Amino acid sequence: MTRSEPLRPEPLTRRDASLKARARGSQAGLLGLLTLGAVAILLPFVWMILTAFKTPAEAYTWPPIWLPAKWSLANFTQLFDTIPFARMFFNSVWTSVLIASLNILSAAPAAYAFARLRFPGQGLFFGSHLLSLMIPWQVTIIPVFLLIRQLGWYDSFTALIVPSIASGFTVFLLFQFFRSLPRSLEESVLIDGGSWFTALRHVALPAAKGAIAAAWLFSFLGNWQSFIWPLIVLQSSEKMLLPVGLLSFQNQYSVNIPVLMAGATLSTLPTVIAYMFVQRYLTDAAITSGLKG
Amino acid sequence: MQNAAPLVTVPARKRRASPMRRQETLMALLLILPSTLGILAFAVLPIAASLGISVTNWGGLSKPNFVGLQNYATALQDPRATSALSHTLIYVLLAVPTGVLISLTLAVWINNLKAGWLCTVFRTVYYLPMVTIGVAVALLWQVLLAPQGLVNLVLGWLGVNGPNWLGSPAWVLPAVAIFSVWQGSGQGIILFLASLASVPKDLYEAAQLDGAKPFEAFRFITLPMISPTVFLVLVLSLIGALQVFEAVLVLSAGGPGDSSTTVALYIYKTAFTFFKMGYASALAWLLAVILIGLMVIQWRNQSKWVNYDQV
Amino acid sequence: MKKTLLLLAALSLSTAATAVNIDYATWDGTRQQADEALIAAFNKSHPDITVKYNLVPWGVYWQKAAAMVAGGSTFDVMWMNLDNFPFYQSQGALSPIKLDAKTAAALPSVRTAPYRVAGQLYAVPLGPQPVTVYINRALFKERGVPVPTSSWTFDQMLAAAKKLTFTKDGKQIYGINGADLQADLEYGMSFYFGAGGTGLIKKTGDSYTANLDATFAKTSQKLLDLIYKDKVSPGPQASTQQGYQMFLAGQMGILVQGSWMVSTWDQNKELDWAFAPFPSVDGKQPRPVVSAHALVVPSGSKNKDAAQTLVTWMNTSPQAQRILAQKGLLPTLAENYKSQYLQALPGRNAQTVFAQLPNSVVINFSLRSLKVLPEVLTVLSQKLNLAWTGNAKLPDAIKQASSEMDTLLKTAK
Repeated sequence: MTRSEPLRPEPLTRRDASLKARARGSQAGLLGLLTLGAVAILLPFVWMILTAFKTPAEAYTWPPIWLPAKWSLANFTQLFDTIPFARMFFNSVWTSVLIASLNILSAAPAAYAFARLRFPGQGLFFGSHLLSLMIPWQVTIIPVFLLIRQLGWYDSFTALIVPSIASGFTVFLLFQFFRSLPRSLEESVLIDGGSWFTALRHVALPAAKGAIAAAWLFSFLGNWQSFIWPLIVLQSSEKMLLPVGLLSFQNQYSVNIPVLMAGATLSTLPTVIAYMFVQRYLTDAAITSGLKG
Repeated sequence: MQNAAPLVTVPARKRRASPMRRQETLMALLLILPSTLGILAFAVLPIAASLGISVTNWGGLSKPNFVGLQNYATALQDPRATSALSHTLIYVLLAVPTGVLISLTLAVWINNLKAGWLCTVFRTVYYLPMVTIGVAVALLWQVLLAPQGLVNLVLGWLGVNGPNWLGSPAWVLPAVAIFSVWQGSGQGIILFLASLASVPKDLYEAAQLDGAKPFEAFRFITLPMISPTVFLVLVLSLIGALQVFEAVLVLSAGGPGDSSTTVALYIYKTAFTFFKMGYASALAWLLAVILIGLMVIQWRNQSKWVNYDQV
Repeated sequence: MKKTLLLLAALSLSTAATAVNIDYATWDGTRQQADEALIAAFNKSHPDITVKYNLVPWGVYWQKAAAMVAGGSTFDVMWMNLDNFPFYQSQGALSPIKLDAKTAAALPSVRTAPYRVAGQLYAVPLGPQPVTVYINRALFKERGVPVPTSSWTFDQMLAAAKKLTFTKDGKQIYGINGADLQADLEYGMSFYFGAGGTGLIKKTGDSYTANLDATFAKTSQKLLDLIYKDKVSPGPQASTQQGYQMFLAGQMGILVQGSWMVSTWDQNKELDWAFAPFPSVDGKQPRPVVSAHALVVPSGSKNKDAAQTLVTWMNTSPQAQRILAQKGLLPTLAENYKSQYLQALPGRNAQTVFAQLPNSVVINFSLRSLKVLPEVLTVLSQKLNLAWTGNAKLPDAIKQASSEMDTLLKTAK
């Protein structure tokens, strides 16, 4: 892999010490800037968690009070009394995990084929994937619902899962990654008499581990967040997902903010923990695959 | 779907012998089969149906009547549709470049940290907003963006007199953009980090030996190497921003007046509040045409700056 | 023919020894406890029918409803409001409801009439949901403001609000929720009707025109002045919380809202709230708005008989109405259960709710068949919203709204 951009040659006269000092200084600067950004990200969360412990009167007081007078669990009790939180949480987790996994299984091979292979109808098929990204869901939702009814899937998890297996988003994301992989390794597999399948399985997939982990996560979160489609295709309350449950604290004329924040807090913590486990695959895999450099 | 064809630019490659080609075709069709079936059934078919609906006056329940291109003609003269489009475009201009720039900058900074555990910490923190339930977080931000809310409190510390974000037509779209960047930049950061990690370290070492300044290294090594990811993030944010819906629905409900009513929100209201499914479908198709047009332009232009491996 | 059908229906009912399951759907989460108590009682007294409660959040209720009805699989009993009824009814999505003559005659005509099309009833109204005035008695006492009597006038209300606007322990207390009183929406409209308003759209012959007359302009200005001139309401530059939130937190003296907020006030046990009479404008009879929600049976329901049994029981049976009244909610025949309602809300001056009911108005009920009504009202609301948020002058907003409404109304027949 050669880069053509010329780098200005400069005589090697720098002293190592000054370089190191400057590096340390820039590290401190980076840390400072990143911390500032992190505070901006975290402040709303702090507010969310604190609100979860406030009484409605405290939550709506103006100017705001940061700390509740008494750390009360009443909002959490009310949350569990009003919606079957645990069941909704469980439903959301397993359907999102399953959908994300099926998503990758269908999208990774397709993305690879679109990025690397040549075949008739390629543009058309890839175009349909892109098209699915560009039409607003507001108008396709009714036709899809009618289809689900025809198939007899209404109020079943099938209706939730099957239409989400294929995703233009995931295909496009992985397509971009496969495209930027160096060809040389796969070519050598092919020249050695290996099939495209071997090239995909033993070269491209391992190399794209980081991208696949990212795509899986995005897909998981996409489903974790979605509420309109689950609400429409599922009817039984024992099948309901978490976002729909949280939404029920928003009434026509009022929102119960403290209970909503209790729900948001509880639903965030486990995903953060899950994310911490997943995230090391997001970049490390790409480094350790040994394909680069 | 003639627009789609030129989107894929297959790099010129040595022609292989014909049995090899047949094997390639067969293999490819097998690989794309599951995904393509799903897309055909649950995207292309409904999209075709919506195209059909767009030439009727269907209300959603009773029998539709064919009205030809009347809905499209109405849309082009509908002042509310054009104002929704201008709100959407303003939002895109505010949110997309800011979002991409911020996530790229943050990713590069995180990537330059020497301590591995710090990278992990920041990566996790910046991704946090993505893992929450969007609807709940948007309701939270409604409070934060109030005239004397947290956002303006922080601005006050910096000596800036914050505006009434959600209550003024001039500031409501920037406010939605701030929320979207806060919520969504984590996705860009993750993608950029994954991409940055794959830039070979020895390239930097070589550059350092050659005496390149950090910015030069970024400009001439990093940027070309990660350009496919920049393109990806740009395209994804553009698609997302042009269809912005949930954020405006929850934060401002399209107000004040109609100043934050975006096309997607207008389509939603047309379909489910005004019961004009046919007209809503026509509006959606016009939005899609704009989206596809922008995509084609992006795709055509990418050869000028996006660097795919062409070994 | 009819008899055999009835016989068949009876047979099928008797052979179906196992209970029929029906789904009841509502958007009103504030009523969840009462609804569940009702359903438990119904399931007990009707062993052949099992009802399941479904709460569909308001934000997505109508989208879910539209998809379900379009897809032909629906809840069996659904909450319906006047904004959406004409659409569903005109598309044949609702099944007519048969009531015996006595029950039908007892229903309050003001809230039943909008649901009657061509002599056929398509919904049974729920209890009235009137716009009411709430006061924070502790604040009134603290500021030495007399508690309103039935002769309360708008000017007295304004004077009270002025006294109630003050700072206390660094907290800003406001007189009244002016930001919620946009004159084209139900709370503000209650003042408009009280000032002699006759409706925002006028029908002459076959054509409709906007009717934003002098009464509307004058009332709008009065209400808007609460924010910008009298400064007794949090304006867009000051308000951070919604009116009901400030009232709940004890930071607002007078709140114009709906009777359904009662269960919300329970969240703050220390709040000393009470109902107050609706103030009169220009010496005229107050005419607050009442929402007329109803229960319907979608034509896609597979258990229409059982569904109708539930609808009838919930909205007309003494047992159900007593349960509602005991929970501080107004049942369909509210007047008949007055004592239970008053007992449920002791010391809250709840009788004023009954005093105002006979004069209450159902918004736009004569215009419901107008197809573009939702769009016209949206345009109006958006224009006035600009004035209310301080981004437009009221006369300009009214003028623009009027002309845009007329443009839309021209397309209607």
